[in-house]
Amino acid sequence: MSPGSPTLSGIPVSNPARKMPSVEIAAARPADDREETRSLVALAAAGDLAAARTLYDRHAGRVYRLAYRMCGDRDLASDLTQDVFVRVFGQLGQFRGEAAFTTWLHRVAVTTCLNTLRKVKRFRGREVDLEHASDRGTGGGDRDPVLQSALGAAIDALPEGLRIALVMHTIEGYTHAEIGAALGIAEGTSKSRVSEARALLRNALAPHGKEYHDE
Amino acid sequence: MNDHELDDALREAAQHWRVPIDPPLDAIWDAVATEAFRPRARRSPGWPAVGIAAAAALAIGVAGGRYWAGRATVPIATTAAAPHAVAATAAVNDPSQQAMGELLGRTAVLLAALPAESSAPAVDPQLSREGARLLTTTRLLLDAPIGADPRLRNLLQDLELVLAQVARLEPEHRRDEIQFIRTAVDEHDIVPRLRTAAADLTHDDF
Repeated sequence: MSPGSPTLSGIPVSNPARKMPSVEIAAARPADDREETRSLVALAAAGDLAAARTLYDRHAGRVYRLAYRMCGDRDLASDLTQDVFVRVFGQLGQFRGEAAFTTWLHRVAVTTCLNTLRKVKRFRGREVDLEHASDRGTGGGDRDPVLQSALGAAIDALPEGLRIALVMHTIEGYTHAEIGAALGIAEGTSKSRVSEARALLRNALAPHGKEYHDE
Repeated sequence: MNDHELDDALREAAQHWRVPIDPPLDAIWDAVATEAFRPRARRSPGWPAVGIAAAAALAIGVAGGRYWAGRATVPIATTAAAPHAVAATAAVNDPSQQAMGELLGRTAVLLAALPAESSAPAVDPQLSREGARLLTTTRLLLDAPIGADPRLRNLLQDLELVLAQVARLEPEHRRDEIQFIRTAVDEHDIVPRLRTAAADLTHDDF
């Protein structure tokens, strides 16, 4: 486990999605992979569709998952993912490589997600229903579905800055360095946002603590 | 709820809360590839370009109008005292020069009115009729003394080719016909040359 890996109060997060090749954290990639990414970016910028597809295959899963976690709607997550990659491929010519491609990609992804979600706040009403459907569809785990539902609602109720940091770090496994780069904030700010989000969740879920413990 | 309970709940959430089932990544890729990597077709000029073209046509028209208005209002009484004005009045009465000014303005308007996209479904029949009328005028001017001026003759010959294509446009034209016309207009710098010719005409350089 690398020092930057996400934890829950020191406990390593076991997120099966992170085992997929497409969600490997860029910083952990060997140098030759980064060089290959640079080549792929250059080729895609020149209009090479195969190179663009390779870049897409590597990153689309993670972008889609973040979008879906944030909005809870399959169609909207698809639209967001599409917007992100159209923007990224459209601006590849302007990408000068000062930052890692992955960092830049996720900055575009987060900005696109947040901007779009601000515009479709009315989706919030639907999210709760969709969230229940999602929980049922994935088996729901061993825990109390009421608690999970309350947790989902509490996450949705978090202020935007705290919510994105919590979802990225605690749910999706981004490092604080990645979150900082994507949101344009300091690494320490990301940590404090996650900490603050956790405090709000604890308060919001306080009524469920005993029920949860009793199971 | 304590930290331990929250950690457990969040761990559960990471595995079961809004986990996308079978994300449609291939379908998304198809849309991305279509939008981001579609063949770089010639970009439509769009409203700003159409506006510029219309403004250019207007400028040509205004320049022509000023030219004719200025010449036509020369008082007859002053002609005896100002011999050069007689020559100017004579120029106004030159029908070929008058027709040239009108041709430049109307052709500029016509080119601005061409459909922006080669895929435009139909062409207004008035467009091809106007093209035919201007083509006739162009050919007449080529045979007139004014058409002997090398710069004007060159422009008129290029206009003849373009206007012949416009005149032949059917309402249900082939997709590439508008594109051919636009390419010819661009390659021969027709619009800037129309503008220059109108300005030169105003200053009586021909």
